[in-house]
Amino acid sequence: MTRALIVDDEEDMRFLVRTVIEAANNGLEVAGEAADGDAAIAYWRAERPEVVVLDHRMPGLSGLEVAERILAESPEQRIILFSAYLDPETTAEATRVGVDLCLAKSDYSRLPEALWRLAPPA
Amino acid sequence: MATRSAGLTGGAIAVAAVLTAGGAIGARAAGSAADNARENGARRAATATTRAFAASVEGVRRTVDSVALLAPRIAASPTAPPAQLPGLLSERGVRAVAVLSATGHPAVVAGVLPEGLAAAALRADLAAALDVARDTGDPHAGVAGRDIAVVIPVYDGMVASTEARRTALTSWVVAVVDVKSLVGGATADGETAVLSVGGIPVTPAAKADGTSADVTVDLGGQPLQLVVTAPVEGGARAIAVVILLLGILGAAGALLVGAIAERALRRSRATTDALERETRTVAEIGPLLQQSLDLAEVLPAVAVRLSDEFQLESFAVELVGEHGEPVDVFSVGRRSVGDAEVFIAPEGIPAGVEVALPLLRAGRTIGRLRLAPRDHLSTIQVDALRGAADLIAVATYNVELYEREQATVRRLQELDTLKDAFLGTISHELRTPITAISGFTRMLNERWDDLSEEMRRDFLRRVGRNSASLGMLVDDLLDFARLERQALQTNVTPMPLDSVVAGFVAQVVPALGDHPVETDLASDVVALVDPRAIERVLANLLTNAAKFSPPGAPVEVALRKGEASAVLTVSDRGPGIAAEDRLRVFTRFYRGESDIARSTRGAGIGLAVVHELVTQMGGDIAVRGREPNGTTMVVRLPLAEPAETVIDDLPAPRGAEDLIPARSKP
Repeated sequence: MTRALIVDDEEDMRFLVRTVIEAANNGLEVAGEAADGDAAIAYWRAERPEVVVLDHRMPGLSGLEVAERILAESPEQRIILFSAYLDPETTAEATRVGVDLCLAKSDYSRLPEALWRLAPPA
Repeated sequence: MATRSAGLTGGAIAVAAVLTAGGAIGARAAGSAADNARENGARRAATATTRAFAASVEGVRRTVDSVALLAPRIAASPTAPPAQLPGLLSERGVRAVAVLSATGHPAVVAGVLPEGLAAAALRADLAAALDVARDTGDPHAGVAGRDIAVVIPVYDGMVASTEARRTALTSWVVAVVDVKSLVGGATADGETAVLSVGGIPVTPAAKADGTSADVTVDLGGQPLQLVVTAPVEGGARAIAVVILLLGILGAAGALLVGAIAERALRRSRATTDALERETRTVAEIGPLLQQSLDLAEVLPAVAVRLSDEFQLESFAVELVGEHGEPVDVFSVGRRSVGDAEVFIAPEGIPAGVEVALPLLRAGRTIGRLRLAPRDHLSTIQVDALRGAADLIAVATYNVELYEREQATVRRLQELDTLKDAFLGTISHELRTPITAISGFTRMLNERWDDLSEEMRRDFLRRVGRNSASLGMLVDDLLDFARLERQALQTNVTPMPLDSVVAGFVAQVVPALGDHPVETDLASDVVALVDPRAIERVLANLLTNAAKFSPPGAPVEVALRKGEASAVLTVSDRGPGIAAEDRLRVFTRFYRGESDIARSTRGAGIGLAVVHELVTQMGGDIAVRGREPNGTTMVVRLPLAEPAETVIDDLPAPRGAEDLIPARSKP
């Protein structure tokens, strides 16, 4: 199973991502949800999901700040930056930090495919 | 609103000086060499007077030019004329400025009319000039009482034809010239001078013997002619006329013509030489000041030059800011403390006495020259120093303008950065609800049969909520666009505020997610409001409060009746707004400096719109902190007073009950 942690401050977005992942099924599973960066890091430490799906603009820590902290502890962690607005600066910064993939929220239907590719279910 | 324009055409009131020096009238027959010398002296004296007069008219012309530039503003609010107007009047030759409206009454805006000339008489006296000015669009001079007045037409909008000018004219601005000082200031003892405007004498005709000179200058489209007669009996007068052309200075291209006329008697050749040297020094200051925009570089050089030439014990250029606060000092010689007298004495400056010469520009004092001479300085030397003061004033003012321009450029660049950030934010803000809407509708479409009834309803609720917040955002953007082009308007009527608020809160609750709204609304509050504006205000304040609240925390809305206003508050238990940010949150694009504000959604336009709407309804809005944490937004709106309490003792007029109650002061 490939377990994904969903991090987004918007409950609607978390719910949408969960629904998309659950609908795709086929070896994908939602490990849990977090509404901000601190909760995400705590959850990640406890559960070690295969992939973290991270929103960028959130209260407190930004998505990229969360990614930076997680990758400092575990450089092999798979992370998808899932943001409504991806400008070239953000994408470049994400690459520098070590995020595996940037996906615009409007491309939510491609999320299952991205998860499979990053962490093929065993 | 239509633009206002005043009749001001380049060169319309240019001085065309025609000096007819030596135009001797009634000259005596040359009997002897001595007679000849005396007569030449008298002629030179008269010519000097005409030159001084022409220079004074040039000063008047410049003042009138400045008044013409201000005319639309003067005419728009005669009771609150532009701040620089009094300063203009104190400068040169214009003693009063009045407004004659096309239909209403005349009003004196600044200065004092000459004795015996009433404001009401201006219209009659100037009738012909008013017509010419109105039809041509150019300032035109006329005679008012014993004074000359230049009338400047002011139109509503831009006008191109005589016909259009006649209909678009709203008023005239009248600049009353001080004839007495204009003529009196130029003539010397024993001389007689007769001034006429367009052939009509405005000074009493005087019979005089002597040698005459005359000059004709143009002011406001009218020839001003001054005939000066100097007595020959007075003996030879040594005349030295020094006219200085102190070149074009700086970006403003200001042309300063300093004319220093030495007409004192019994001056030795040596004194004249010294005088010439001093005036040359002043002339050289112009180019010196132009060398650099760095005042710290040029002003000390100027100070050294002047203090050498005029044998000054001390010399300082003191610059002050817009509110008179000291900005900079450049000094040479001993540094003085305390206040120096502003120089007014006519007989020059005594040795060792410290005086100050004001630096004037654009109607305000931008600083002063503070100096103390080692030896007595004559009035002519003081005049030369005044010329230097004018040059320094122009130069420092140009530097100030340049710096201001630079500051504007910096501000615009900052605004540009903010707008870039704004576009990024707004894209994010628009895409989030759009993604949710399209995501859930697609799910419903593709998986309708797999979804339970309950899930379908849940999806639809989410679609509804996101379209509501999208709609709110679009409303904000539209209001903001209106605000930017100053087209955001409210239309107030008396309304029971509690039901307006309660109705809208019920509507907006679903968009606030898991944040319940607790209301505490007084029921007796009738306020003058625009219900749509109240909706926009509440939508913004409530979504903001919800946005910054911890999960599940309630948002509180309260309404109570204050002394003179309805007080509506929206409170949250969020992290609060830093005290230093509380005033700035109403600035467009501003979203606070804190991490929380930066990373939270919001385009930074909502509160700018709220502020504008509340202000337009005659209210105000403020931010208050809560203990231990949270924010309260306090909106005060004018109460709708019952008409009879406003009218007070007066008997109620018929139909008063139908009147919209007067707005109370916020």
